[in-house]
Amino acid sequence: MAQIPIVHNLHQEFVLYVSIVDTQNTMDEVCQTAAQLSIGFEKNQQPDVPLRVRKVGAEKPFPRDMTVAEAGITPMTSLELFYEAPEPTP
Amino acid sequence: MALLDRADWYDIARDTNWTPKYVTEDALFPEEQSGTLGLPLEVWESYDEPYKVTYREYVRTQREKDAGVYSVKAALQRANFLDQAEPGWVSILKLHYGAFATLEAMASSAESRMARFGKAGGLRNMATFGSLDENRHGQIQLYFPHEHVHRSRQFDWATKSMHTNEWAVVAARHLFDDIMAGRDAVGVALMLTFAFETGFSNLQFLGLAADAAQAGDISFSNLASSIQTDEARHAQIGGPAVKILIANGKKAEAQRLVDIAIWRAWTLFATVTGPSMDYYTPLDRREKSFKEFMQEWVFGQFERTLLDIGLERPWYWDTMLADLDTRHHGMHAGIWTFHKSVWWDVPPGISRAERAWLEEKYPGWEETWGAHFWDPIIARFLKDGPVDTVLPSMVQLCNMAQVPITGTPGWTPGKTGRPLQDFPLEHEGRLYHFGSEVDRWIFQQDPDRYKDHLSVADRMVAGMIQPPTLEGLLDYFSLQEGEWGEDALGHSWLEEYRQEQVQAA
Amino acid sequence: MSTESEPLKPLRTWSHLAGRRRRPSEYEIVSTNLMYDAKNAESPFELGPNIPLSKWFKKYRHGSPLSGRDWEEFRDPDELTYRAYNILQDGQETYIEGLFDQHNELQYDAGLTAAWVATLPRLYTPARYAYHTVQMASHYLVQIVPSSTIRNCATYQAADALRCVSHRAYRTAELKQIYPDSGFGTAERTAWENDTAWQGFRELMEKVLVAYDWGESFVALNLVAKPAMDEALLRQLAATGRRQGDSLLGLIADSEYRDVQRSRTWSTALVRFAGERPENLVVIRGWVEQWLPLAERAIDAYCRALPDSPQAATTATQAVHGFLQSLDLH
Repeated sequence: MAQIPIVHNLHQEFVLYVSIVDTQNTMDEVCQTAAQLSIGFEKNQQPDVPLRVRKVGAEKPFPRDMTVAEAGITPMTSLELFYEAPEPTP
Repeated sequence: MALLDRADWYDIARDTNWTPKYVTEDALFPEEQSGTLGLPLEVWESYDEPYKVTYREYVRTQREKDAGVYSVKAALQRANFLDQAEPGWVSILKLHYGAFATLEAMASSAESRMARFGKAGGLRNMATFGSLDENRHGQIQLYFPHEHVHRSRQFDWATKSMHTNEWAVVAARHLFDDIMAGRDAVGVALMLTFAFETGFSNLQFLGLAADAAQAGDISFSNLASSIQTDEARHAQIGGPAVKILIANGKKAEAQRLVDIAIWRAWTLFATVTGPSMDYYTPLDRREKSFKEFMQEWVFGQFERTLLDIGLERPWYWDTMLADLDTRHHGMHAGIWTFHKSVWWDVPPGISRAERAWLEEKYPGWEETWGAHFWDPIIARFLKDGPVDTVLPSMVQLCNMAQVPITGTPGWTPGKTGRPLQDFPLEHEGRLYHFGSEVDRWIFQQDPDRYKDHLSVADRMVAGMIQPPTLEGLLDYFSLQEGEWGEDALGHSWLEEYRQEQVQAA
Repeated sequence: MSTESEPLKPLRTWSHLAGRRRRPSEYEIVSTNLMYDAKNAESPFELGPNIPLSKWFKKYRHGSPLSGRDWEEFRDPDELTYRAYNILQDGQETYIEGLFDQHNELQYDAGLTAAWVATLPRLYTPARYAYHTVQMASHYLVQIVPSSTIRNCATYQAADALRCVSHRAYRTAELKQIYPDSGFGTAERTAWENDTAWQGFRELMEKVLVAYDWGESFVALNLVAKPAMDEALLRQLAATGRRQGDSLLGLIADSEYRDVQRSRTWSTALVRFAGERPENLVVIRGWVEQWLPLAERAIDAYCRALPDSPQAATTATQAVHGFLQSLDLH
């Protein structure tokens, strides 16, 4: 267990934040921490749709129950917290 | 005719290159100071400055200019304009003097670098006047605010700012050390005089002079436009240097320096001038929007200057155009939400009337900045009461611009502005963050120049700011109560929204 | 800690001047405490400590043996500000312009002797190169000195040097109109680069220009080279001119010499200020001894070429020594 700073870009926010997470936090917990710091998040929230986390530049998000340590997230890693577009219905 | 015309002897006064004998040319013009990219003295002798002035003309003109500006100030001093001025205007003055007075004094050193290490006699003479000009701008912009120090401790920042680690000061120093104090003579000619002064300084000085005249601040309006007459002259030092570089196979190098400086200037002006024009200036006194000034002067006039001289549009021109709808709104939002971190009181500038103006000038502002940034804050303030520091956490700063990395809130494809995005880069094992692909590109042009610098956010993370709290941070910024910024309207602007809420209920 | 202190109250002047007993002058208000890059010895610029100019400033400013003083406390005895400088020099230039105008009206140049006309493109008009080197060297001081109050003095000194260059350029063109074939406007660079009269000053100034330590640069230029040049090129040439029937030269030089006295006033003050730390006086004396022989040779070479002026070199050298003795440096 260790506290590390991460940089996060929360869905439709106006600024990148630096916040502190624990390496044992899951991705869902990271999203919770981030949402508390946000200015406009209440407005931007999509109820019932989970936020997902991915590294900047990556296409796929990490699994929601994966921990920061398991994801290999190191200090000051830049993360995007976003809502996945719903799967297009055929 | 008893006196000679200037043209009869001007060329002789600038024909001052000689061939060194007792020391080498490289010792006399070392590359780190001179930056001539290996072009020897002879090549520079074709340098021809377009704006010609002699010493005799200079001291007469400048005496007359000062007589005008100082006498207007003296005549108006008793009127105590500032006591009745609108808060937004007072904030602009505090911001302006704190951001520029000491830096202008510093610019005299950069001008002197050209006057010593430039390889053309005409350039050295023009830079001699440039050095004097900047000496003037430092002094006059200290003399004017000094009259106001008894009104507010924030005016003290005209001399104090550059000695601190306040974040906006760090950003300004990083920029000006990059394009001026820490650059060689050719770099200064291209980056400070050609790119920054030709391209941008009229935004601050003519644009603000126009707004000042509208706001009734005749003293400041006079001062700013008088300064700009000097800038307009010494800004022309760089153009002929660009031509010499192009003519001698160094176009790519010239283009690179100019491209770096234009973007860096843009990020500064979006931080300082953008909020001043679009949020601080009282609504009925706004001459034009910041975007309109930018479009006319930078994307209009300066673009033509660039092309006429033989350079290309910077590769990021379209990116910068899109940034016109985003960056300075983000800077304003960031500064207001953490107004304790600056030395001026920050007007929110979002009354309904002001918002209507913003929407007119920036179509789409309401559905992004309005709906996704300001409305949630207003709702929270109405519910829980206003707070001083809205920002809940440290924000990430760009490792080039040293300002918060921002984007358009609530942005979705098709909307104006651009999304919030990090442009990270790993270099020699360290992870850097940039607010745009251009900032990252600048870093990549010369990583050794930038790699050792720590942004204020990096310093916080590295434990250099103790205690790592809001108080610790303000202490690190050398800001105490009495000088840190407040909401310039004391949150009285909320009343309009409270009334709306009452009526709706 | 900021949280424990009272809210800051407005002051009557800048906070950095507020602790002093007397009201600050306009000079102090606009000139002091402006050089932020001189504070951080490790990294003068808000970039990295290892960029080329950071290394330069660490070596030549912070690394100078002239040290140990809070240089921002230095004050120019003349308290010269920018606007005062222009008022002063506009007055001087109006005077010079009047001289040019009246002498031209009276066809003054046509009355010069042939021998003197032949001397001027050799010993007078090439001085624009000499004063241009002073202009350049003064500008080096502007960027390298460790305080804004010293920087101001150097800024005006650099401009004064351009004033000297300009007067010579003007006279070059004017003389050329009457004497188109005497070398005015064409012979100067050759004279500066080849004539034995100039090689002393050329060598001196080329070497002064590469003395990059800020303290040495100041001492070499302001205490030795510039005084040597001013005594030879202003004083002794003017004295020779008067004997050769050219009084205009001396009238111009007298006005220029007012700038010289201003330079010596602040240079004297800076030596005294630095010397409050005794080690600095030892350093300054060392530099003076090192540079003086080159300056004396320069005076000698130039003054020997002055027609009918056997005492010129001695008088000029004595004047330089006198200046240094007034500072207890020689």
